[in-house]
Amino acid sequence: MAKMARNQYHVSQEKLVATVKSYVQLNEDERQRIRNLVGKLTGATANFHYETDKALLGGLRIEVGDWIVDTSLANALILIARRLKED
Amino acid sequence: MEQLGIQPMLLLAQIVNFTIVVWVLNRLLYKPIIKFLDKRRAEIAEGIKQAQEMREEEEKIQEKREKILDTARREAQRLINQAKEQAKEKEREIIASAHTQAQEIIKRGKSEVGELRKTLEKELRAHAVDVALMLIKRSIPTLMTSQDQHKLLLKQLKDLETGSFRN
Repeated sequence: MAKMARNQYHVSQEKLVATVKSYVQLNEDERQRIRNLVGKLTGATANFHYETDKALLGGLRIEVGDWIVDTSLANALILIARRLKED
Repeated sequence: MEQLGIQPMLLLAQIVNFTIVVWVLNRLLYKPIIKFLDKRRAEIAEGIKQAQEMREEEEKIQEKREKILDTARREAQRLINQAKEQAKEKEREIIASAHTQAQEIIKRGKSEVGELRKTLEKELRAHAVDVALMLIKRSIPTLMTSQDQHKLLLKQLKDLETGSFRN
């Protein structure tokens, strides 16, 4: 995960654009949970933009300004590969 | 005496003559001969003495020569031994130096081989990881169904909500 707030992360009080990329098309329940999660973690209200990205291989990536949460399998694989190469 | 046919005057004259002849002979012949013989004897003795002295001198010179030769032989032998010892010492130094250099070369070689092996292992590991990564990336779309993907997504959302998400 490139950047992630473990608790509260206040981006800004103004309304931002939140880009949510996922490997599969998100259903409404998933989108609602993401909106709640972003609001809880950043404290900001945002306009959400959803798109699918097969390069993620699985999971999702949320970007709100500089705040990024990356749970994609592609990112996980990159981190694992980096650790393996460093050992 | 006259009856014996001896005339006294003639006898006297004969005695006088004989005495004169003896005196003359003694004076003119015997003494010079004796003197010559003494002189000759002295010369011979001197010659013998000189010969003896020369022989002694020669013996001394010979002895001195032997002594010098002996000293020279000893000195030469000492120098030869010293040269041999120095050569042996030099040989030992050269061998020790060569041994040290050989050890250094071996050590350096081992170190270089070790470094090379580490580099190759690292490159090989990186290559293997890249290949594995590529295979996994290709396999995931076929191994994971859309349902699996949604399950994964929901689990990740749950982890994010509870703050227990770990990459």
